[in-house]
Amino acid sequence: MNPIVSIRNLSISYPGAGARSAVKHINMDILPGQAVGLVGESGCGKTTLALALMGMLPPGCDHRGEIIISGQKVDFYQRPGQPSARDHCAMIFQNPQTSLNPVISIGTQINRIIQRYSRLKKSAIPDRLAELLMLVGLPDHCGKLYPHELSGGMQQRVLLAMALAREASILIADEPTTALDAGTRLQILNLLKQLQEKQNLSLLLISHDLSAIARVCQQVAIVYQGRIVEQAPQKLIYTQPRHPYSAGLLAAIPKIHPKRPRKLQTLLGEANHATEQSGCGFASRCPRREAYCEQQLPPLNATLEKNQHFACFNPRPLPTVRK
Amino acid sequence: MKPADTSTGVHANGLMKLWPASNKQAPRVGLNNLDLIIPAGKTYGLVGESGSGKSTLALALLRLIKLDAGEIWINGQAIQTLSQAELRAQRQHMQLIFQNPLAALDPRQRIDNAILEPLALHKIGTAIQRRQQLRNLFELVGLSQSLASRYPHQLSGGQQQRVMIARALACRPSFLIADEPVSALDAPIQAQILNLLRELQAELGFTMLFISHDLAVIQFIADIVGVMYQGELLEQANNEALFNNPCHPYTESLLAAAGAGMQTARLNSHDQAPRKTPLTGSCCYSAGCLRGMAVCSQQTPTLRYINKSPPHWVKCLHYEN
Repeated sequence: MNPIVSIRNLSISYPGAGARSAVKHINMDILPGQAVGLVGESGCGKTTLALALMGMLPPGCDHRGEIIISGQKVDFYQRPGQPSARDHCAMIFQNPQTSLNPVISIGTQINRIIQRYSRLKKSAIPDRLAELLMLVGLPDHCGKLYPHELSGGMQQRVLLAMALAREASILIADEPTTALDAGTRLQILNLLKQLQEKQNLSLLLISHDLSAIARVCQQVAIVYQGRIVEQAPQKLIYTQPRHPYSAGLLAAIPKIHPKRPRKLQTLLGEANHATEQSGCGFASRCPRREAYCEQQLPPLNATLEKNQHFACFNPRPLPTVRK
Repeated sequence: MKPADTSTGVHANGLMKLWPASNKQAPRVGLNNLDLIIPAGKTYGLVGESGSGKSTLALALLRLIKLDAGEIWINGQAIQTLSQAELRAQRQHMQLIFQNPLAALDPRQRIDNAILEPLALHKIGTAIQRRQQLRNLFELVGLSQSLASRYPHQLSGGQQQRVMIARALACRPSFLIADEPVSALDAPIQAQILNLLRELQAELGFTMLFISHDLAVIQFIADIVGVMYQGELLEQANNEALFNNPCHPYTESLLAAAGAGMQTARLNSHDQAPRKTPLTGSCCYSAGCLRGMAVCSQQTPTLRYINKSPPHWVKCLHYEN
């Protein structure tokens, strides 16, 4: 199957005195109908990658590599009249309230997208609106309401409806549940999963929350300091993380234990995104560090099974199979 | 659950708060006849979905909102009856940590000044003593001294939250409220901050009310756990008792949802929950309860002991008679 989105050797750095790369040598494929999760701590470059896909990078960024969407190489910047990545992608953001126009009813806002991007007759638009609202689980009368009359979860559903109205080949969701509370978060994630399966939607889900990613995605990439450190099917990441950073992230997710723990397991220190290291960026926090880790950069290798890639000289051993 | 001795710890009795609603609708319930005891030096973990009144309770305990009814004692001080001047003096003993440190810190104030501000306001110590105290506080919360002259936006989220903790602890409060202090942080940083808070409490011995929607966080940090729903406490027990033997149907469903982890789980959500006023003579959870009986919509349960040791309270008609 040909990938719908293919990112090749992408590096992006922001302008400024201490110019440093936000995204470094990223390679990634998204297949049609696949949900890919991008995980990392704040500041690791997740959002920069999403903005690059959308052609929304701030001006003056230095970028290398290429992005190919549906077999077409896309421009990093949107120019009037030029085809760009934005023709193929829809995006929803962290805070739904800031994405919606407060003085226009949400029905009208969705209608405008339908009019602009679908080839429906004018008479068919109300039906399409009703269909979209139903798809995202909103009652019909919501079309008449204004954004402030909806809860955060409902607003996020409206944005999802708008993204679906776009009929884009890929949906990018950048921290779509971070601003929501626990119960609503579950609902939105379930909805994303359901839409992705039913509508055969290709999805790039960006989050710092590994458990959110686990719920929705088939493929997971873990990003540290702008580099992908581990990339594998969801199941493998959760059952046998090879990179110490992936394992550390997993261990730090709060879990209910049979007995109250005395201390939570966690990674020491904090990610230092400001300085450029010659060796592995994670070396200073790594429990499996060796002397050579700080001198040389580990490449993103494939394991024998070929579907779990990790960038580490001293990976965690595979769990031994008990007989 | 009448407070016997109110001279230590935190005691609240019959707290009531109705939020006025617009458009002639019935007022929404913030707190509904809520009783609470936090023994001195213990951590009380309050869990519940958003809108259940957790933050309302926090604000009420510090008298940051006006209650409709109820009495509060913190270390023997009846908070509701203090004059403004007495209240201001009392504030140094009760401090609050918020969810979003960047919103709580003044963007134009250096963090050393932010931490010292409460000491200056309460006129504690001389300037030299305060500087010394600042160094101690930095060490206490694990911040490097070299960050002292930075501004909030120059710090990471974890460092900002450490600043907030240092600021809250500057006056050596006897009562600390932490309102979702880790939910805005990445998982590794979240675990670091939780470890820090537990170490600090062991070292300094303050009483803490810790609010979270995350049961796993509550299990780690809390000695006593209270489960809140629509402004009422539905269950309250020691950490071990609550997690090993949840009695209220709502607690059961919360634990099931959290334990299911990666799988989808049914959870009563705020999105669809009817925001009714539960003053109608029924159990406030009767609409969503999986173990509901006919009587649940006709009678209001009371929070009562079902077990004396370890103490365990439940507010459910299944446990009455």
